[in-house]
Amino acid sequence: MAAARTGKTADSPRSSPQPGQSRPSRVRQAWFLALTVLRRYRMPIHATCALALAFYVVTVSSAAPEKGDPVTRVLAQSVKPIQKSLHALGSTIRNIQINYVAFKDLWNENQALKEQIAALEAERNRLFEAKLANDRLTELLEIRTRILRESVAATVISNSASTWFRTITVDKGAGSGIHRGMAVITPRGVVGRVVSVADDTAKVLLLTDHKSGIDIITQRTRVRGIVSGSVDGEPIVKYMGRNDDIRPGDRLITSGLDGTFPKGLLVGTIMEIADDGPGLFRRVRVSLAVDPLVMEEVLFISDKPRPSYSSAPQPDSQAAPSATP
Amino acid sequence: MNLSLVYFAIGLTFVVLQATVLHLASWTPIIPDLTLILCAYLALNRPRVDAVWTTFLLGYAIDMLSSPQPGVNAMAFSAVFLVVYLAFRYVWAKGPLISAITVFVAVWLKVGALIAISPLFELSAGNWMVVGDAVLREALFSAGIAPPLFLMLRSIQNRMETVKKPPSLANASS
Repeated sequence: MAAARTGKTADSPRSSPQPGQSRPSRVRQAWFLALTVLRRYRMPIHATCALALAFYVVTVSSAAPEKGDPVTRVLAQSVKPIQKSLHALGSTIRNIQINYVAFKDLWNENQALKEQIAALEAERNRLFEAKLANDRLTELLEIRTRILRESVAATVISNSASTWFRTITVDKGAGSGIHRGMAVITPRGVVGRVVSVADDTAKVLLLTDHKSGIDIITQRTRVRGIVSGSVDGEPIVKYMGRNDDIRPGDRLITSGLDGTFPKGLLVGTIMEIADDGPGLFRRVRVSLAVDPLVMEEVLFISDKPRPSYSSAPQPDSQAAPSATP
Repeated sequence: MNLSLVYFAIGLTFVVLQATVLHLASWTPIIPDLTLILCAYLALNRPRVDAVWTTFLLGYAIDMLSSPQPGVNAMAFSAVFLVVYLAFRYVWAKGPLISAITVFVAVWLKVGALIAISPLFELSAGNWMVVGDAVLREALFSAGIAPPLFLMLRSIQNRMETVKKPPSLANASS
């Protein structure tokens, strides 16, 4: 057997037979030779057999495709479980991938929709702000048309940075015609007066500042007084006597006597009346008509009459309907 | 024999991958023929009878999964195995370049065998360029991924043979 593997021994079957050799020994040698060749070239032989088998399968399946080849029939039965498992595995992988792709698409769509919602929300907010600004400016414009004096609209750009001085800064200044001492109002009522002016900005002293003061009358009984701020931020009415006919809820309007504010602008309402004031006067607390912290646009009113109305001036009291009950 | 079973299992995994993931995930219409790369590896590095029939069965598995005519892939794979075994086993160089060249040639052989034996490829004169272009791309693609795949299969073979070798032989060889 070892000799057959190597094929290189002295009694090799390739050596020529002896003349006196018997027939059985020749047959045995031929078998030996055949086995050696088969063993030596088993790889190409097997590969050729595989090729031949495949060719047979192809030929049979081509000749009678409806029947199928016998190898396939046999193999199909034997590998059916494997095939089913492979198909199930493949389907699972395919489904996972399809689901992943679908999930990814959904995720991308979700992201796009979120971005769209955010953009629409921002747009909605912008439009809402524009509407609010439009409403405020419309009110301001209405006031401006009713007041028969020159006026300039401006936007508040900052509030006071100190507790002791209550001012605001606006985005218009001397370049827009604003000058020191101008009255500042909103559609809701009086705000204060200008205390300093730069080229592009102006500073307004609010009514809540303790240095401010404005001549007012009560709308119901026409009692005069001075509305002034205080250090604690709560405005009061000075110089209202103990016998004056006032009560909480009375509306206070500008008297027009100080030459700065037109007559009839709403300043605030009386909130509380106490008899412990200095001397002959009562202490009256006021709720202002305008909250300085929520102002965005203000109107500056000059002491000069508007040119178009200068020829036929009308009383200022008609120009302040916000103070009309 | 155990190693052949392992290679057969790997080949079946490749068939499944080709039928599912690679088919869907490929960014080109070309699907890399991992099974053919495995067959080329077997012809080069495991010239045994069981490798021949492993190759045949893998081709047949592809036939069962994807070919309308049974036997064509089995025949093509067997032919590739035979040619690679006869031709490239005498190339005494080994390495990534040789594996890539072998697989490149193997793809051409496979498609040539398919064209030769299958009536599906009754091509007119104008289609030869299209087929040639597709074969070239598949061959390049498969040749590109052949070296790492050969490395992986080689490491599996080494590990299996190390486990199989008895300690006395391992000591003797060392």
